[in-house]
Amino acid sequence: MTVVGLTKTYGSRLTARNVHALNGASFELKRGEICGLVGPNGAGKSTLIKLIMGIEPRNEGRIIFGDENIGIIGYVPERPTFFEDLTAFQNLLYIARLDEMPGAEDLCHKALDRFGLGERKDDLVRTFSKGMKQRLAIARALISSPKLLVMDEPFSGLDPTMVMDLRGHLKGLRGTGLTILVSSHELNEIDQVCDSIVFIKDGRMVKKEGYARDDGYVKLQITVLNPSEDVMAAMSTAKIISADGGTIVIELRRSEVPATMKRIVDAGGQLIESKILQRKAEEMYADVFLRKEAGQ
Amino acid sequence: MTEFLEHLRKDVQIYRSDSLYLLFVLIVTVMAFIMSFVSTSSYVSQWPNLLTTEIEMLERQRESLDTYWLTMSNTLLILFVLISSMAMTPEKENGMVRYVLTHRTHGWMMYLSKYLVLACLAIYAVTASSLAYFLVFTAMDLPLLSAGDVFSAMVMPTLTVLAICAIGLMVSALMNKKGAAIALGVVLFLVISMSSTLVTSLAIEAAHDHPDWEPGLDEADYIPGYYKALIRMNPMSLVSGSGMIGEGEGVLIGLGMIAAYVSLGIFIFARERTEFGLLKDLGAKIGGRGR
Repeated sequence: MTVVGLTKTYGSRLTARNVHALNGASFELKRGEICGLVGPNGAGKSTLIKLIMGIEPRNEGRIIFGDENIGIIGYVPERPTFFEDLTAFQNLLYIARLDEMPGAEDLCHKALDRFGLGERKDDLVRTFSKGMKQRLAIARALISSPKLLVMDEPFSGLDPTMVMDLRGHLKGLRGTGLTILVSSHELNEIDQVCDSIVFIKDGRMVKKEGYARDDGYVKLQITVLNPSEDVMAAMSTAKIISADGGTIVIELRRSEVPATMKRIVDAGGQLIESKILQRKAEEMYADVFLRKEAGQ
Repeated sequence: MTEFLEHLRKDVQIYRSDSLYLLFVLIVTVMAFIMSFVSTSSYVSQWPNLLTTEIEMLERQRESLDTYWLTMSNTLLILFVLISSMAMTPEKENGMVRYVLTHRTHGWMMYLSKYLVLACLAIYAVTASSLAYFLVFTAMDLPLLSAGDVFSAMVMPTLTVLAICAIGLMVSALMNKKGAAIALGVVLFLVISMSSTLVTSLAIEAAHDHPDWEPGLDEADYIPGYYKALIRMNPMSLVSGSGMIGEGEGVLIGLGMIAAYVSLGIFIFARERTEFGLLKDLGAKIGGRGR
């Protein structure tokens, strides 16, 4: 999906009290990418989502979905709403049938089972907890097999159990080819779920940053009990960034990580811990917004 | 067609699961029997003391039936103003209308489905009222009116209730809050109701002022054209038209009103689909409203 120069202004030219909610926002999402949409309050995130969904009309700009027909876009609103006097199954079936999904009933049963709502399928939605409604909203958004899923603040107001549950479901969607755009203030969750982040401020995209480096290199932090010369020599193919006792940070190609780890163990290294260091969303956010503001 | 049926199925399910509508059906049925009893008994209690011919009795039975429908129609109209003006707003308030419109569907089908369910409810209410009257009337009186006479009397009230439903649903499409929709619906009903009485009396006064009018002549023939148009535009004149609108003409006017108000409602509802909304596009071009 490519968003080009999206502009949205609320207000009236007559009273000249215009609010520019979006001011030429542009960015691109690759197929299968899970992208966070991050920005301060009033940055234009929800407006952007409404424009993508066609809920609000845009003033200018284009949304291009490659060469293919995007069809239905799955949408999980900030506060998922349903026909509260219908059952979970009826809610899903209504949407599935509107979207002319073949085998709609089977699809609904499977979706409800997948999101752990199979046993409550015949209960009225008004009896559901917030977490259950959130899961039902995702099931509903996915019922029509969309190629793009847009989620507005999906973690907002959920308790830790529900957050973990939702995170698990989102991780489960990775690798299915589904492109996901998640607007959220929960930067820790963005870290765990997303491949990249679009930072937006004052209605413009300020930066898009991926977690993985474009050049294929990663930073690896290794903690060994015995940082001997042999162990250090085993890391010679990598660039050593820092070495603090037994904790060494090296930079190497992602593909070389398994072989390097094997060499360290073969050299007699007593490995306690190893992890790939990634920039956190919070750091990126601080770079993009706070340091810039401090600089100004 | 399948799409329309899906909306219809959903709306019927919602109405069935909402106890308010079940309560409404119960109230209408009970109320119809009570009103029938009151109306028939007050008439029956008079006639044994009178020396009347069969023709006079038939006339009185007709009058009794007309009085019953006048009372019943007003009650049904108030109920349907309330019900129809809140038919769409809960779904608009919680964002479901816009959510559904992000899927492959047409707004006008959603709207028509709502209207059809309301229309079925209205037809039920009028038919139940008619049936109640027929049963009570047959049991209590020497029935000179046939079943056909009794049931044909419900045609104009049905059209009036259907027109009021169309107006109420239009209000529901216009407003975003349930309370505001109900308030506007009631105000509109009062305006329609009072303007009907006012316009009719002004029209009769104008007819009396006509130089060619003389007592004994039909006032309807001397009413100025603009008053006639105002009377024909008002749904209330279908039930209380004071003989100014003939039955055949009334049916045509009633159907026309329903078609006009439903079309207007669909036009107003189209703004919900802002991406493609006709009103928004026009608004943006004319008034410079932000899009």
